Amino acid sequence: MKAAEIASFAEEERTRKIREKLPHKKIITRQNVLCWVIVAIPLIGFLAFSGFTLVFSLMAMFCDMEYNQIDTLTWNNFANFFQIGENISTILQSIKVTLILTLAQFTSLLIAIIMAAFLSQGVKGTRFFQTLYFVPYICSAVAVSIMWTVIFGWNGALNALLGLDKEWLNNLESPSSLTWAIFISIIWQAPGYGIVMYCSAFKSINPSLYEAADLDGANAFQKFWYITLPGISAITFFLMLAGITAGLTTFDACRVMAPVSWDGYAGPDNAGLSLMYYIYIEGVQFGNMGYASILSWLLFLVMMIPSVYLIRKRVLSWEDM
Amino acid sequence: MQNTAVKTLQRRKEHHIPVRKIVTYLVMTLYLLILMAPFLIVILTSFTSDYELGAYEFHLFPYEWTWEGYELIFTLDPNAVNGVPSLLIGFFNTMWQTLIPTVGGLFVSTLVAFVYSKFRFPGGRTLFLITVLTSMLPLGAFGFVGYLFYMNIGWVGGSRGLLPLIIPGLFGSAGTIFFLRTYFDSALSNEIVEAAKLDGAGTVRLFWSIALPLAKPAFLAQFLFAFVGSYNSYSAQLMYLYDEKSLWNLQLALSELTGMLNEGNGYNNARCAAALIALLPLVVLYISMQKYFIEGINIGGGKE
Repeated sequence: MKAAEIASFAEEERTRKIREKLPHKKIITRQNVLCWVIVAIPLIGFLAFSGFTLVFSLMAMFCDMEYNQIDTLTWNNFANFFQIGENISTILQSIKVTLILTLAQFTSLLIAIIMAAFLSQGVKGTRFFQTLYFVPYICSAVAVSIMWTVIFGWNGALNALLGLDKEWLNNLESPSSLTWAIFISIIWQAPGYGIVMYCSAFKSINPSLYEAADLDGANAFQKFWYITLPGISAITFFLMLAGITAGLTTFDACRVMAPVSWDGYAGPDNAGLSLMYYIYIEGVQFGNMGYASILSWLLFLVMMIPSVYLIRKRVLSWEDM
Repeated sequence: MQNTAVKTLQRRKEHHIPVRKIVTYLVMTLYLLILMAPFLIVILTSFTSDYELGAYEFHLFPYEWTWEGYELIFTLDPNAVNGVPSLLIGFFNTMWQTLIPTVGGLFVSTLVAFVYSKFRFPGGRTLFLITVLTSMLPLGAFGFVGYLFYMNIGWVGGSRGLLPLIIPGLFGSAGTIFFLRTYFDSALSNEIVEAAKLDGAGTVRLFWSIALPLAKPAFLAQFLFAFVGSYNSYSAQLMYLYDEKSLWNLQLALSELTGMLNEGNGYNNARCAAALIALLPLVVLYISMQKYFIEGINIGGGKE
């Protein structure tokens, strides 16, 4: 089957090549030129903006600059890379925070599966619940973070509810409570999108599979494991990728819930310092673009791992088209 | 034999359904309460006076209802420009800074997707593949490093900070192109296009009077999510427009205003009021168009 497809694809390609070589078929026609001009727009945009950004940051990694002017580049014998060693504890801290916040995205995914399973029971009012579940998702991270700083405040609702007297956001004894406060704000906000996606994924599973399983005496868990889970694997894969991307680039919530103090710290012990936040502070606030570029490239390479997998998958499915 | 099996199944169903229903409603309501509780707390806090918030222990309902929080965000606003409150300026800036790149970029993406879908031209396949590949690069990592490039071409500082926020978006988005091309492939048959071509319709007419009207649902889905993303955008404005208060968008104005109010940990009522005012327009838009939002996700819009 696969071989036959490849063969037919190769055949098609060969005929096209022959046809293109034939003298009477003009390649430069008015219509072709118009097509090229139109489809070139996004590619030009990519080269002009993303392309140059990549090139500039690549050069900045290995050089010193005066006031970040690119015409003052001078080779600096990897001095920027030595900053990694000097700041290794801050980098490790920001990686830790980033990983916890990425975990928040995975937790949101789990919440989404569970809630979508309940929404798919077919009870009345499902639509009402689904509509309201989506509201936090459209709210801005800035506003949501402000809401949660008030709730996590010392005289706030959470302490009142738990009967505690705890400082959550600025606690020098247990700084990581700030990280977990950001975690909570994310799992409150993020599941809405996944819930809607999973609801439609559940709907698209053939109901006769469940009927057959019922007749075979399968229990609810078995039905979930053998029918539902394979049916939603594509959506899960997609949502996981989106979650990894969103988690590794978390910035807005950190910047609002852990504003930079005068000495450059984001919360006690940098508990609110995500990797993107660190890049922002170093690159934009301190103007240390060479070092910020190194961190960006590291983050980019880590994010490429799942992306490469997606690219391979997309390219394969596209060639089948 | 078969009869008894059906009967046991029916009996099991009769027995199970009410329990299942009750559990379902219980869980769904509980989750709804968890999601709505922060809104409720923040709304009630916004109507409590600053004195009451500081002098008494936490209490959900204000002893005395007051608009003080909403007045404070206008009277205490340190970022007002010529007396106009920063949240109001932010709202208007958000509208035009959002609509221009969203509508412009979407128009370009639709045009490119249409060409890829309905025209055969040399190199088309390869160019499409490259375009799609660019959309899959995790360029989000370079969000802040882009500053270096834009600074060097003079697009940073004062009102020039608008350029990196608006211009790149006008070149269309590869993810949207991929999505819309798939949509055109299935929704607009080649026969219709060929027939229109035979009738003498030019490329431009084909696009305007056939492709655009047909793409409306997909267009709307992409537009809504691009609009929401742009309305909530924060980091880019923080980077490029920080020193130009008159151009701040809503999120930047909100974060700066509440950050200022938070010095000294007071004014929680004003901070809540500001967050709610910023949320309100989008929540109203969502509630009135929720059908299109949910449908938009279902046909694959929203995320790339």
